[in-house]
Amino acid sequence: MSCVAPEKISVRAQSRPALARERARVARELLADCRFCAHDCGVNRLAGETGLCHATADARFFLAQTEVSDELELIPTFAVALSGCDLRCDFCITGASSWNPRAGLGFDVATMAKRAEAALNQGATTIMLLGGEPTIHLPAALEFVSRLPDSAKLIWKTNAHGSTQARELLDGMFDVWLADFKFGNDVCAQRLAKVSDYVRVVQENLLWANDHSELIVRHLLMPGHVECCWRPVAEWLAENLPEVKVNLRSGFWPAWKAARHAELRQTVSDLETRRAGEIAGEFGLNLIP
Amino acid sequence: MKKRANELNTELLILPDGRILVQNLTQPMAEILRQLNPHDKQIAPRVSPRQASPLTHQKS
Repeated sequence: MSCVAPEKISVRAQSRPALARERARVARELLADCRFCAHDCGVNRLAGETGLCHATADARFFLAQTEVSDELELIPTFAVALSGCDLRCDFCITGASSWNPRAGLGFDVATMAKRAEAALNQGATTIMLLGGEPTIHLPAALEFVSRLPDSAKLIWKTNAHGSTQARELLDGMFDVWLADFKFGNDVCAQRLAKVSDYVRVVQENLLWANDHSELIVRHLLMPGHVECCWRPVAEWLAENLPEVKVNLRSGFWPAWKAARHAELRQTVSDLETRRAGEIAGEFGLNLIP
Repeated sequence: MKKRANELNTELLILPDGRILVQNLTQPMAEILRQLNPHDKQIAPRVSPRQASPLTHQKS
């Protein structure tokens, strides 16, 4: 005789689209007291209030196309980038759209789902939702998932600054979490992205994501931040997520407001790239291309 | 130039030392880059995915 609780059987029996539809409804109601990210603003976005991300209840997107620039195991991917973000990284390569949730076009989930399905039929192997930061548009993200084939491989590209509430709503919705671990300490996080308590929040999200889905951790090497940011990230990953796939990216591009910081006015040097690779080797990380 | 969300977009940054950084690489642009440098081992798997090594690039 089975001892599995009936409600668990019910959850498992539901298709992802059906579950996403239910979650989307809940998420939209939660916009009245928005706590999707770790800023925990508690504003009523349904009434037009905005928090630190400045996003209203309406999602917009600034890019939707099939790309081949992500991890090899994920490409070609149909990438959909939602406008707006809860972080304020001065070096953000899509800063104009990521800092402005009103950038781009209205996100019509039905139309976008049709485009995504067409992309799959034309050779894309995955569908990736990113930003900006998609967490701040959780209702639209879940509505989008509810319109996609149950069999599609879905990627959640995130800054890993989401809340417990967001994670609960996302549980089981995406096959892969592709999560950034940008800063190795809270001082750099505060200075470059105006976010406090960054390291704890990201680590909490990464541990959760690793338990609930496939996880790939990304770290974008920044000039002058190999020892203060990459080394502690690598050390933590080695200790806490030793088998996790890590993509160490060396193509830092001094974009947006990077020039506010002297060390970010350049690309990463060959020496820094080599040093970062040595650190990865030192900690035995599972690097992927 | 203002980008339109419904158009294909790839951005390139060509560095003084000849390196090219790529953002939002599409398959057509990957094919162009491979034609420019057929021996580049980093671009090849992007043109025909699931074969080999990485490309230097950055994304949000």
